[in-house]
Amino acid sequence: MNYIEFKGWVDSEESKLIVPADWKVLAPPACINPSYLEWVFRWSFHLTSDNKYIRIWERYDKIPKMVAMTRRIAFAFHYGPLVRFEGGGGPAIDALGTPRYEAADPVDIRIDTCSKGMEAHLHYQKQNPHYSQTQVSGLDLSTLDIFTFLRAIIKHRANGIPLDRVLGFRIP
Amino acid sequence: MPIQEILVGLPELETLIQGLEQKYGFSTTAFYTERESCLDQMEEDDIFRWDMYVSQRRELRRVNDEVKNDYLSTLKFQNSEGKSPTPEDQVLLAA
Repeated sequence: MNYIEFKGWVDSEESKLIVPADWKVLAPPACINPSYLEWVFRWSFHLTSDNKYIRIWERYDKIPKMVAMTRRIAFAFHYGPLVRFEGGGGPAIDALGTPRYEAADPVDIRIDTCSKGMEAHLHYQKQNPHYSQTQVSGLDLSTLDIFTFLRAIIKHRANGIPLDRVLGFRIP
Repeated sequence: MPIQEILVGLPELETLIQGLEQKYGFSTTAFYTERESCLDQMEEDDIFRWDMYVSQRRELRRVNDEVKNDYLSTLKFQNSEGKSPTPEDQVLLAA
């Protein structure tokens, strides 16, 4: 996938997404310093009915020794309670326009590559443990895409179905 | 909602990288060469941020060098035809 294809895919999927009324866009979908083969994508929502948030970060880069080919090399999909607020009451956000998150913060689900080895891993309902792919069955963490994640959160919040059932994973 | 494009320049990236270096007390070089021990001390999001800022700085520097070299090669071409560089050209070459 290159940047043009990525933008086309996001535009197409985003137009099909039915966002619930209590989802307020906190940081609109944006690419930071995009070039044809390298870009960072960010998007976040404030779920105002219960002060939770969703944060999407992805980083794409060239595949070494390959011509004009790129792949996602890092990502962090996060859903959980907001715990930091600014003076005016809005969520405290960082330079990327997304809520700040620290290791002690509560989390509903987080799937990310931010660790040694940059391997995708899962946090579910609490920070620890970090479940590696070898401990998770039924879901390929490394290929989970933005819209599968967002639709899972929508379904979970609409019907109360636990996220492990919505996403189809099992952990020890 | 169309995807926006946000351009972050080299000075801003330098500031963001310095902010992370100050926060954790180690350099960007250490972040890559002593990665295991550095990552142990870091918030997960900051790992993503640091890698991103450094990668984007590298790409912007590469593009800057490319533009500069293209421009300098144009100046050389003019000189080879016997035209002396102007004072302005000399300032640009020195830069």
